[in-house]
Amino acid sequence: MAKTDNTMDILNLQLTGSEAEEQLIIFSVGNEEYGLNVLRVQEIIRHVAPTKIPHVPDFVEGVINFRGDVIPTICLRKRFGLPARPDNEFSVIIVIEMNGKIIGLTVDQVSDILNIPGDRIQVTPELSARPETQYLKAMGKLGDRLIMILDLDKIMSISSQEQLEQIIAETNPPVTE
Amino acid sequence: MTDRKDSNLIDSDLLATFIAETSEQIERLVLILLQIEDNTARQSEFIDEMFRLAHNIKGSSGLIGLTEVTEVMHEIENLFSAVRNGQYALDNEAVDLLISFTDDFSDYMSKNIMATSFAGEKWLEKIRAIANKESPKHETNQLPVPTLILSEEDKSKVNSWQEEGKSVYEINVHFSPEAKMRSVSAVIFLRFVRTLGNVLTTAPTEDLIPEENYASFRVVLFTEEDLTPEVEESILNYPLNNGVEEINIRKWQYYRKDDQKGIDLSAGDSLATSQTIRVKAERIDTVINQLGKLLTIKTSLSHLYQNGYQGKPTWEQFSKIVQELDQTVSTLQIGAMDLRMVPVRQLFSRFPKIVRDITKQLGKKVELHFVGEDTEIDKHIAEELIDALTHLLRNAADHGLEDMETRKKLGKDPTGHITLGARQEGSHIVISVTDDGRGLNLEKIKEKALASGLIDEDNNLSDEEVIRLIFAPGFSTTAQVSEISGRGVGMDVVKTNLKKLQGDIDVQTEPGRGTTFLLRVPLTLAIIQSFMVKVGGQIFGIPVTDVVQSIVIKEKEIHTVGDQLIYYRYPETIPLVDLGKHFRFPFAQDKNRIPVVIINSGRGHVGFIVEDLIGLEDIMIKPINKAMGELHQIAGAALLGSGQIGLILNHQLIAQQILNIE
Repeated sequence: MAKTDNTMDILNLQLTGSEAEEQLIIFSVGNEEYGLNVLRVQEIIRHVAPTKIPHVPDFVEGVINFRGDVIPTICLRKRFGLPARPDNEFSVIIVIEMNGKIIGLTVDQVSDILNIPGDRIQVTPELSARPETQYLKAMGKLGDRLIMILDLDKIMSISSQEQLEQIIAETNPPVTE
Repeated sequence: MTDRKDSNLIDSDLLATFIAETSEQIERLVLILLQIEDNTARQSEFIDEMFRLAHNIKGSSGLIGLTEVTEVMHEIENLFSAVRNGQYALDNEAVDLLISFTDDFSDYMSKNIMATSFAGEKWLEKIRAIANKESPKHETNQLPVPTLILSEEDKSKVNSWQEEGKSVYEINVHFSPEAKMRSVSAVIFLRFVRTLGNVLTTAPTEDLIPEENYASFRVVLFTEEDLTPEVEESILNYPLNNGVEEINIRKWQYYRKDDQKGIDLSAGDSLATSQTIRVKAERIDTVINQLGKLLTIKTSLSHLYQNGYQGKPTWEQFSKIVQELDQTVSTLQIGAMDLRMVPVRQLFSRFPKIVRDITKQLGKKVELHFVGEDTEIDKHIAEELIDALTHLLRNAADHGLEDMETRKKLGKDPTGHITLGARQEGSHIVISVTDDGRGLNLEKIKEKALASGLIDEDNNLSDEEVIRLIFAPGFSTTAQVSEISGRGVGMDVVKTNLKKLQGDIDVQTEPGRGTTFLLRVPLTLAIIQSFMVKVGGQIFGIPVTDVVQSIVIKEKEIHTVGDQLIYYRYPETIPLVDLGKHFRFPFAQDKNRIPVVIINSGRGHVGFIVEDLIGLEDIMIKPINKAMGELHQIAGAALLGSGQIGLILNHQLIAQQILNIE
């Protein structure tokens, strides 16, 4: 349902033109700026060292204690195929709700909350297969800033290729030195 | 926002309430229909309730605009009303039809509600056809069951009586169709009942008793306390010989005064829905009381803080508050746990239908009995047991019970009996499924185990050990984890699922006399005792129920066979898993001091090599949300006293993997 809602939201925004605005929380990962609908965001917290979980894709950092609940966190750098930042001190975790589940997204920095008019948002066509771009839903332009709006469902879903890799990793007994 | 096809926008809360309430009512209706199917003579006893159920469903479906459902329910209501007036009697064909309607309707509610309209047309026709059918046999000699009429004043009397913790009973005297002098019996009986307490009202009312034209006589009785078994006995056996068939006693459940339904005359089995729990008001009060205490403690703490700020902290005060806090929190914890407890009746209530369906297919006659259905169980555990019990009941009905012919030959009651029981044993609930069938065939089990390579020809297994083989993985040839509710699924799946709940299964059997499966589950899942270990700097927990022993060994005591690490301890060989390598959470090992936790895997012992042993801790298991798919190796997480998160191992699964590789 959420998926349909999202697409609908954006389509509606585009249809109704400048009357509607989308309020986005802006954060950076690597050199790019990304946006997420604020309605999805529960809270922004400082990065804490997560408890690692065995046998999960590498972009899953682990689990953290978020107000008494155990929630998983995802490192967007790893998800986008970027090298890990040596110093995580300024990293933050954006806690979002998706399909009724609470998860954390680890990003480099949260910079802003912006209102982007609907006519400034464009649904992206299938871009390249580059990891940073394949999770995009739309792009917003504000002045000369280009904000990439993420498709959360894609970030969470594991493509068949990745699944295969994971299965291979799990079935192969760990290498003994 | 929703993109449902239906243009009527129904508030989703309203819809959820409708589904919850209606499912409950349908479930109750099915339960009644099944009883009538067993004994059609009892329909008069239930007809008021059936009528009300049909009426309620009609009303609520109208409210949310399910016109087709409303129409069918209206027709059913007409049918019931004809029954009530003695114009018609439900036969098995009619009961069958109504049950298949409830199936269809439940299916619709769970899958297609609001998306498509209910295909009510065919049901309308069928139900009308039944209602129009002549049923001469009953028409001539079946007298109507008089309705029990409660005025608003009566209802409030019942409520306030029950509020004081006193009891209200409904006593029902059934007359046989040939009964003479009903009025005499009724008057004598009424006089007797008046010696036990206050009579609120009767049906028929007292002035109509002389009319003699009723099939039963009902009394609503107020008593100060619950009737003792002796008194109940004296009522049930009260000497009325003028054609009285049966007397039953039913205690009315207590409902809140502001409950819209007023007094619900239904037998009081508030049947479960999946999303809601009915909680006794007093339990919520307990929790709220404790919360009140917490607030007081908070106030004293802030006082203390202010005092401390002025430089006068007193340790006695502080320790007193900590003590109070400790006490309050543990009472609160128990109180909160209690909120999740439901009577097993809610779990059991779905099974008569399942047993009926399967015995119909098999052409057997089976009676399902309940014992101890008031025993309380964690709602979550109850839900997890549905599949296992369904499987055991199917097995009992299909394989356990002989067919009717055989039973007759053996001198047994041709009707098979299956009993579902529940009782509490310490911190566990034991659920039993007992049949009076042929018992397990040890020879067949051996044959099958031989064929599937589980045992060797020259085994010296005791009978006990042979019986246990049915739980061995690979014993059942069609084992499929995902299809547990289907047929022919292995017992090992049942066992594995119980293990996940920190429970276990056992079996007792006697050839020719029957088989009993005993399912042992903890009272509540929320808190378990866990053995904590360290692996790669992180803390992991292993549920203590399966921990056999923790030992420290030396590296030279570990042997390798292929890839498999082995520790030999007379007289057994224990396969080892190095959790650090298994999880790829490496840690440094001291060759002379390798800690190992030995667990019982159900197929023998398995040892986990860990970084360090920590010890026992009571933990509250929290689920890890499945945003990233199933985590097979980890059963959950726990927030530890230190603020860290400990992961709870799915130790059984890890052990299975090792044993399978082996």
